[in-house]
Amino acid sequence: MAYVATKGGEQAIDQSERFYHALKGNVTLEAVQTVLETMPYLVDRVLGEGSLYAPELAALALVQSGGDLYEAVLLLRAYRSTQPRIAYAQPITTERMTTIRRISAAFKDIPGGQILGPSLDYSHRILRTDVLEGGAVEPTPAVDLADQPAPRSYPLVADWERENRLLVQIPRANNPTNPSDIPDVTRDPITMPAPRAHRLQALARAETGGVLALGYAGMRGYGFTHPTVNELRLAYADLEMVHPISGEPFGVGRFRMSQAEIISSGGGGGVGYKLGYTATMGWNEVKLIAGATLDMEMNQAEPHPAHTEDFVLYHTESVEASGFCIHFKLPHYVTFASGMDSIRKVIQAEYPASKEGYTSPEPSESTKMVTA
Amino acid sequence: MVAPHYTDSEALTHDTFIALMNALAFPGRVFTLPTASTDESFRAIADTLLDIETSYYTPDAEWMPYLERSGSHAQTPDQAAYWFVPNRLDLDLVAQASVGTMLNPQDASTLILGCQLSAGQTTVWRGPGIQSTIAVQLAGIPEQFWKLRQQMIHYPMGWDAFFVEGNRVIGLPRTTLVQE
Repeated sequence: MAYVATKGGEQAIDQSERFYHALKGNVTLEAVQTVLETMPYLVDRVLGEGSLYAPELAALALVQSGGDLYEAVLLLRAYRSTQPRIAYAQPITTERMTTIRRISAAFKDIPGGQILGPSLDYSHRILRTDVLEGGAVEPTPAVDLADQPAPRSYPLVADWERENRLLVQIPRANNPTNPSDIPDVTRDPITMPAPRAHRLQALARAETGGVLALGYAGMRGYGFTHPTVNELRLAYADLEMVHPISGEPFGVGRFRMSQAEIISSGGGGGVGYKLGYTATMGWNEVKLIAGATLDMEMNQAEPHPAHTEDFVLYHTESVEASGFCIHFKLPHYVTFASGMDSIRKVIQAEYPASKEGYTSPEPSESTKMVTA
Repeated sequence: MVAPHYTDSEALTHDTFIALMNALAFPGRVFTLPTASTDESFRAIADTLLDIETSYYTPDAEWMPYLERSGSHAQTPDQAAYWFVPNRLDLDLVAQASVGTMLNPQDASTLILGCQLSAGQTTVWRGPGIQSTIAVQLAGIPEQFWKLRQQMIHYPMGWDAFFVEGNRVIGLPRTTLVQE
C-alpha cells in the first residue's frame, strides 16, 4: 500500500469535516433515544457486527455516524477495544433462554410447538405514505393476552432429531472448558483452518450484507446446500457471572440474542442430516439463515471457491473490508505516478508518432511480436 | 439511559495510553504521564495495559499484588506479555524476553523499565518516527543492554520497551536502530 503521507491542507480537512457534520443531524440524547426506541433491528445489527452488546452505545454510534453502518460498527468496535476484560460470563444454554420466537420449517409438530413470536413473515408490507401527509395513524392494536402465559423455554429440535438418529450425536463435554482457553477472534489473528470457535465468532459479527450475498449465492445453486430451517430462535439470554468471593452464580443482566440451525442431507458424504449453525447478539434473522447455510457450505469437502472458510470469513469482516475499500480514496500518487511513468516510456518508445494526441495507435512490429 | 461513566480511573488510563502510544510512535521523545512519581507511573501503566487476558513478569515481588489486581496472571520471563522492572534490570533476564514469532510477532514482550532519563550514557536513535536522528540519555541501564537488544531483534520479531522516570516516559519500539 504505497500511498504518500498527506501533508498540508489542514484547513481544507477541517472544513471538510465540518461540512460533513453540517449535512447530518445533531448528535443529541434525544436523537439517540429515538433511534433506540424506533429502530431496534438496526441497533441489533450494529451491536452484533460491533460485537459489543450495548444498545445505547450502538444507537449513539448510529446517530454520530449519520446512519453510516460501517462507520457505526467501526466506532463501536474501537470503543470496545479500549475496555479491559474483567471477567468471564457463564456459558448460556439454549434450554435456559427466555425464548419468544422459535419456529421450524422442517416439522410442523416440533416438541414444544411452533411459537411465531414477533414477525412480519405472513404480513403484507405496505409503505404507510399517509404518515407523511400527517394523517391520523391508527395505533396498532396491542397483542391480545393469552389465557395462559407461554412457557419461557423450549427444547431444541436438533435434540429430538439426535434422539431419533436423524442427526449425529455429539458427545457432551464432561469437563467445563476454561474460558481463557477459548480462541477469541476479537484478539487473535485468524489462521486457516480456523478453530470452530473462530468460525462461529466471525459469523456472529460478520457484516450482514456480506453474509447474505455469499449465503444467497449458495442457496441459488453455487453451493451444495438447500437449506431447511430446522430451528430459528429469537430469545433473551441471562448473563450470569460467578461471584469472585462466594463462588455463587448471579445474574448481571439480560440480552437479546438469536440463533439458527439449518439442516440438509446434501453433500459431504455419510448418511443422515448435517447441521449448520449461526448465532449472534441481537435479532437478525437474515444473517442467521445465510450464516448457518455458509457454515454448512464451509464444511463441504470441496466447497465452491467463494464458500471456502478463508473466503467467507475474510470477506464478511465488516471493518476490514470497508476500511480497505475506502482507503483507495486516499492519495496513491506515488503508486499511480510510477505506473504512469512506465506507460509514458512505453508510449514514447513504441508509438513515437503519437506524441501529440494519443489515439489508439497501431502497435509497432516489435510489440506485435511480444504479444503474439 | 444506561451510559458508561467516564470515571477518574478511566481518565487516568486513557491519558496513560495516549502517552504510551505517542511514545512508541515517536521513539526517543519524552512524553508525560498523568502521574507524580515513578511508582505511580508503574501503577498507571499496569492499570492501562493489564487485564484478565494478559500476563506479566516482575522480578520485584512487592509489585505482584498490585499487578494481579487486574486479573492478570504472573508468567515466566520468556512467556510474559508485560515486564514490570522498576529498578535493577538484570541482563540475563532480558535475554529471556519473548521476541514473538514470524507468524505472531505481537506475542513479543513489552518491557517497562525504571531508569533515569537525561543522565548517563547518550545513544543516538534513528528509524520510523524519528526525523533523521535523536539523542537519548539514559542511566540505570546495564552496559551490554544495547548489544543484547541488537542481537535479539530480527524484525518483525523483537521486543519493545518503555523507559520511565517520575512522570516521564520514552518509548523504544523494535523498529528503532540505536547507536552507542
